[in-house]
Amino acid sequence: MIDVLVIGGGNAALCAALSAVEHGARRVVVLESASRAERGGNSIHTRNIRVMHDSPMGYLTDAYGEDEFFDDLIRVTGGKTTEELARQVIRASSECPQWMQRHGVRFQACLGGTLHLSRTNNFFLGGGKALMNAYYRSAESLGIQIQYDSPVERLEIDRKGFQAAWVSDKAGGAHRLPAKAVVVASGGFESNREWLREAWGPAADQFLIRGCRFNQGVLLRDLIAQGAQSIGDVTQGHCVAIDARAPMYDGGIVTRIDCVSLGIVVNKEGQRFYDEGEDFWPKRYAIWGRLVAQQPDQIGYSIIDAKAQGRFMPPVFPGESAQTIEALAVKIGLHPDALGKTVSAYNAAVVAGRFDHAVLDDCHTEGLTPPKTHWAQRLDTPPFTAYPLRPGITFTYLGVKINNKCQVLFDDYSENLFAAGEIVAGNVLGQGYVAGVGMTIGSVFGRLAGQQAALAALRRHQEELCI
Amino acid sequence: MSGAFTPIVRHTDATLEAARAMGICNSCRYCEGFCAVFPAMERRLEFTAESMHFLANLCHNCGACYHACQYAPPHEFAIEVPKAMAAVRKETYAKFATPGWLGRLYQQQGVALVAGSIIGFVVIFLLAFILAGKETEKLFLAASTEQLFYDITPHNVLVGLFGPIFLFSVGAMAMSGYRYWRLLNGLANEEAYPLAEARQTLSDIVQLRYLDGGGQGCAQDNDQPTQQRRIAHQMVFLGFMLCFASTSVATFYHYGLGLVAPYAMTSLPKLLGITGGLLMVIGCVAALVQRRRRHEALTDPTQTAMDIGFVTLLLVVAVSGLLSMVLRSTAAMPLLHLVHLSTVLTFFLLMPYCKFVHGLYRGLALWWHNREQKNPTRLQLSDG
Repeated sequence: MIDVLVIGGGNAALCAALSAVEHGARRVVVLESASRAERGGNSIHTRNIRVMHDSPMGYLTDAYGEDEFFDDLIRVTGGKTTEELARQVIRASSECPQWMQRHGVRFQACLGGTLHLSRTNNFFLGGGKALMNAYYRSAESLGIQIQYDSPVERLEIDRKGFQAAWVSDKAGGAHRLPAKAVVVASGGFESNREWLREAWGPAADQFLIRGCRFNQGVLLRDLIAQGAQSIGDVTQGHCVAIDARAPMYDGGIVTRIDCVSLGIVVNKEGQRFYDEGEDFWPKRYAIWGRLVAQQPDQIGYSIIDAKAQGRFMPPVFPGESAQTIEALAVKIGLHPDALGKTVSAYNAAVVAGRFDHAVLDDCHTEGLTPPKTHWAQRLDTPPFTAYPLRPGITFTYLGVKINNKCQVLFDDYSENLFAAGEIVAGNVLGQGYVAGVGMTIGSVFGRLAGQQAALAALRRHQEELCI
Repeated sequence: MSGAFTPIVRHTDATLEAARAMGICNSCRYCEGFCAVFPAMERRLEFTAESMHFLANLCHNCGACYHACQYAPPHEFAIEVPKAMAAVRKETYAKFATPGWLGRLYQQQGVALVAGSIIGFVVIFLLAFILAGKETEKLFLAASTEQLFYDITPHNVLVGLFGPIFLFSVGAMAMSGYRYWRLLNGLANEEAYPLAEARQTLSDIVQLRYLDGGGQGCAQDNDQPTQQRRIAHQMVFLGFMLCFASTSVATFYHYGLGLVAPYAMTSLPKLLGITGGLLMVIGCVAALVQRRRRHEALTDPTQTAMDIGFVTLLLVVAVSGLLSMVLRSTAAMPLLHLVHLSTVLTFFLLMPYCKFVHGLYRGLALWWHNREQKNPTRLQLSDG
């Protein structure tokens, strides 16, 4: 019989599987719903992990202590977190890099354009797919059995806990796979359009999914239906404004549009709707998905002039350009007069200041609603360029509630049913996001769940021997 | 003025595909730590044909970026940087060949290899039979005297044949290198730091720094990085340099010191040549075995003939050279010696038109890269 069954194939799942073997589980099986070529879930799109450290550590500079990390979390979540679990994640994060390196993961200095993360975030050499490749190689060398193309449709749970997983096969049926313990690390539900629609209404039809198409939330729904306590709001998650021309799935990092704070953003009526210069872009990009989602037809346009060219990370798709604002409006399908009026009003409201994109400068508007509080420069130098924006969902926060051993909570905790990764992210992230914390949660809870599952399997084994 | 020396480089299907990939990579940048290509890419927002001929030659084909790529097939972006860069390098080799029309040889790689070999063998054997005159049996006899070596192929004849061809090939490559360097200089006005650049470039070449995927090695048949390819390449490289040194020392002995070959086993030319030959044999065999196992996504299928043919040619040069020395007192020696000379002649003829030139363009590209890196970027991309 399988000691530890791991459901999922991303970072948390592989951390759980590796950790289970390290803690004495003999037969560990990983069920990945994707094929070998598409394995790794959303983790292949990641690039770093936020790590607590009291002194410089590898490429991580200076120190980033528990309280500062926790404060950052409180700030972005507005306090919607479980302090005990959040602190547990933060403390254990400091041990992650060394463990990761033991399994073949390599780190690098922070990437170009991410200097602001050099103190807090440890970057994977080659990004998340290289990280996942290393974990899979390590898993194979430790004798962990990886089964690809193996989506699980439901769990068999009784009073004694988890009994078996039912694995779909290609013929449309399912087979039963019993195990002594299970770790559910099968991600959120962001690829499930119907579920998004239940949460967001028809607006969800316009959402792009930045990650893989496999996160259908099948086991999240199954667990909640079987009595698992849920945590988090169904509409909360990581939702950014990305290029509207991005692919429906797996657009990943390249679809981001980083020129919002350098220009203005209008909706399809040609109207501005939020302060584009509220704060540094890395601190604000995660609110723009939600902002665009609230606009008619869930579309926005970031508009810049020639002064902004070459000042932001190059977008993957070229923008539409024109010599006048009116011509640009025609090109992107907006009403020329409406856009012309918006730009004129904005230009008239700009107060001259000293432009400096590296600080919260004094370039702002006066008497304009909504205002632009920093980096406000007139749009007066052709060519003018527009990038279309749509909400892009990275991951969702609705999950199952766990205790400090990653045991899924029903009326009581379950002895041998553990969860880790995005499916439990809501325990720490009630809302908002801070870069790299998804991987922190996945790595810490993945390792912990694997360890606890190995111990649970051992207990089962001993119980059986006693009988 | 540059038009007279520098070929006009236009976008082709190959450079456009590589530029498309770079456009996506430039928005991602996860591979920045692997090699020189990505830091060089990040200094650019547009990927002209010229810049692609630069970036492609920086790529050592280690494969790390392919395996790490979230946009590799089956993703619809279908990014395959190593393959795209290999295809552009083929065009660099053809485009910058001197004389230009012989650049076609790089596009007809099989033909070039076969034709070169035929010419090499026919010339040497014809020469040997003519020189032997009525004494053809000498070509099938064991060496009875020390002098037999030059009985078959007199020293002056060899120098008269190989010297001009070698000089032509070196001259042609120097011209190609000059024209490529002009292209690199046309990319931007960068301030030169010759000493530091030279030191860094030499170190990059000697260590083969960028064939290690950022310190972990280079992929073969799967995503597991290994150092095998780097080791094999450097064995061939070092072996080749030792053989070259052996020939140079022998030439000095001959003309400078009046010492005529063959030399004793413990002499410098012999020691250098034997060590070099052995390194080349082991390195070439290893490289050929590795080439067979290489992941198909990392190679340009239109260059298989050259990849395999070039290494095989080096292998035959080394093996025949070693054998003709080991079997010098047997009847096989004269023929082995002629085979060795034929393959060396083939190599000299093909030098500017075969894979050998990868070292020239890559060396220059690395040099330019090291210059660029010493200059601050012109871009003002902010992360704020």
